[in-house]
Amino acid sequence: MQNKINRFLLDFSVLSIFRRGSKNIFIFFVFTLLIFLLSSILFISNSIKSELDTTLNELPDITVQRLQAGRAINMPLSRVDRLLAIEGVKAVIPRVWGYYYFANAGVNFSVVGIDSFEDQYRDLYSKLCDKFDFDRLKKDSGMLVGVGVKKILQNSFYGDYFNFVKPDGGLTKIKIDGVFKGDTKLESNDIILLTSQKAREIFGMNKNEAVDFVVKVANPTEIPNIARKITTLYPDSRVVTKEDLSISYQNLFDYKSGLFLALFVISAFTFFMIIYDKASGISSDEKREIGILKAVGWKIDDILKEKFYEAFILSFASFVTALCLSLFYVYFLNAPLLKNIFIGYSTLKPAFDLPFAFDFQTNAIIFFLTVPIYIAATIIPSWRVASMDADEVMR
Amino acid sequence: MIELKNVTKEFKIGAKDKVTALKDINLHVGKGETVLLKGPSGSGKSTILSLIAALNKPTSGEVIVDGKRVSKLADNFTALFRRENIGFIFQRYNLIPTLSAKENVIVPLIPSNPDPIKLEKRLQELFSSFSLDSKMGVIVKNLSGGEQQRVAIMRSLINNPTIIIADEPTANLDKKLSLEFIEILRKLKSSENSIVIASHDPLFFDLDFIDRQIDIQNGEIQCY
Amino acid sequence: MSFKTKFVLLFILATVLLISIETIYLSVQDKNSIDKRLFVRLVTLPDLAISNETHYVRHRSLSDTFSIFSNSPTLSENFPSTFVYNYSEIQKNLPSRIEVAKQDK
Repeated sequence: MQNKINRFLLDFSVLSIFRRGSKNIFIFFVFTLLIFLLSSILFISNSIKSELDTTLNELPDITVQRLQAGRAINMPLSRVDRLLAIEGVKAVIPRVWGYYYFANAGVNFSVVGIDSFEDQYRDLYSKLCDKFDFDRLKKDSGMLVGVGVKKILQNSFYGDYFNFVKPDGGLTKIKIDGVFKGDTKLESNDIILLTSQKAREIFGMNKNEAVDFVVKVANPTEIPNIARKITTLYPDSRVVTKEDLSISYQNLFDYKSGLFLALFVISAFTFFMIIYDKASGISSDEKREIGILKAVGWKIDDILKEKFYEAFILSFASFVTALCLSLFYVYFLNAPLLKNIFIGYSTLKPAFDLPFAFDFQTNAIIFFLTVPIYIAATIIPSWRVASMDADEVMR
Repeated sequence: MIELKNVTKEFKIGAKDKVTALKDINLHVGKGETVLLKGPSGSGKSTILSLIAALNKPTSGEVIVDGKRVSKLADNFTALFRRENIGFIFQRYNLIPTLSAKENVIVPLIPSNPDPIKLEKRLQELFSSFSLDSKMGVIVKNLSGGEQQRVAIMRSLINNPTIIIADEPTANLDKKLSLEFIEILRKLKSSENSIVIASHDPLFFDLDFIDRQIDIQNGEIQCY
Repeated sequence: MSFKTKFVLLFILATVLLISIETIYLSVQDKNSIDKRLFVRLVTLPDLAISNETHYVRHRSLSDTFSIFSNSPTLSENFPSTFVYNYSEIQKNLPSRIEVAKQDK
């Protein structure tokens, strides 16, 4: 039985690749680099997106903010009752949260107030924190901080407490009674959790005000309706539903702007330069070779098959090499330089591990945009030459 | 065996001009015959050879080889025809310099995916008959002129052709190598195949194993 | 088959194998996502603490148009964060008060 794959043809193709060694090494290198960059960035962004997606369900159904002249201002607590009266609303929880600027280090902390440290949540806090003593937390009315916050404060010689500067100039001393675990770094790095009472003290907020409300809804399908009712009831409010947050997450790393647009445009340009060079014609050496092959009895099909093997082996080898390197770089080495593009130059950088999220679709897109196009760019000029009379080609 | 009937071949130069390489040629080569086409450069000898090997199609007329009208065959069939019947020895050998001698010799057979064992046997036969056993794996550009010549000839014989065509085989050779080549040709002559040589080298004019000499001038046969 | 062919095929095969091993190893690793979910349930704030330069980058899903100008009247980008994180769509889709009033009627 004859082998389906022609070993001799395969041999000839591989030797062909090595015959034009320097040019092919250059192409291999450039392809690998391009695909490596593209897929690394895609892996990182998919990772971050998947991190967001795992926590999406835990977010509130509806968040209500109040706008005045386009700016967000505090909500009066008196609105809670009227919102509760809306059909379908299960609970309305006022929130006190905001940003505290720590001038010494030049960073913003996100300060979040919760009603109180309740006993029923003792287990929850134990799960989330390292070095944690719940009773002391309750007694001190202390705070729980993220890893990044702890580090910054330590650098400023604050060991187990911190002095917040109030708007009236006074100081509020709050003890650090726990640090959020490393696992939650991406979410908790810059967060300070304390009681609403303390938060109000720090922000100089009135007792009958809240920053915004969180509305819990009995039936999730009713969310848009209730959102509309809220805006009708209070026209100066801005309503953010869970659906809006989901859309906001999806629009992160949008392909139409910023880093991604720049990256894709440059990659596409480089890639198509190579393709153009390939497709615009083949060298006289290669032409002569095709002529010789025809003269000794190779059909056009055989010649194209050989060119296909050549192009496929080269481009596929680049693709898998790049993919392999990219996986290793992003998930094992944690993407040393590229990650910084995403993190920026904030002083409060979380040293986070990227969760594994293999997006088959995007890698398939990269594959189909590179390998078949390169193969076509190689085969088409060869086909043009092979279709001519062998005699013409060899002259 | 080989017949050219009223064959005319014109080549286009640019958009309007054309050159007539052959004018109404009639030629016949029988089985087992060795024929020499002689004439100056540009007389049309190479064109006749390429027509016989179906590398070209005539502008008018017919080329019939072994009963097949090769001038009417589609491109894929002419390739198959060449692979099965023709052994072509080019003027400049046209070997692939970065492949080894063995790899060059098997090039014509690659598309047909031959049986590796039979192929190996055939290669051993050929290489030993041409005394190049030790040079099978040597890269062709590292071989001497004479060795390259023998590799080119072996390549033309690997498929056991019935027609051997040589186009100005001694044009780039010195006298010693030319004489060696002539000796090889003499050994190749048999009742099973036909040999057609195109050359203006005087060394070929008085050879005993050449059955016929055909004079070609300006695309026409002068003496038959 | 020649040595070079064997080398190339082996190289490709080895790379594909390596990719499969890496993928299987990474997907089997136990990444504790429960903690993260509990934390978000507790704090109720969206967005990751990746970039803290400004409010509208830190909590991009909840910020409003004016926070972009909170630091200075000029629209200064906090490169590279805003180069990577585009402003949230929500910011752009603020319904105007006139539109809301119309619905009322």
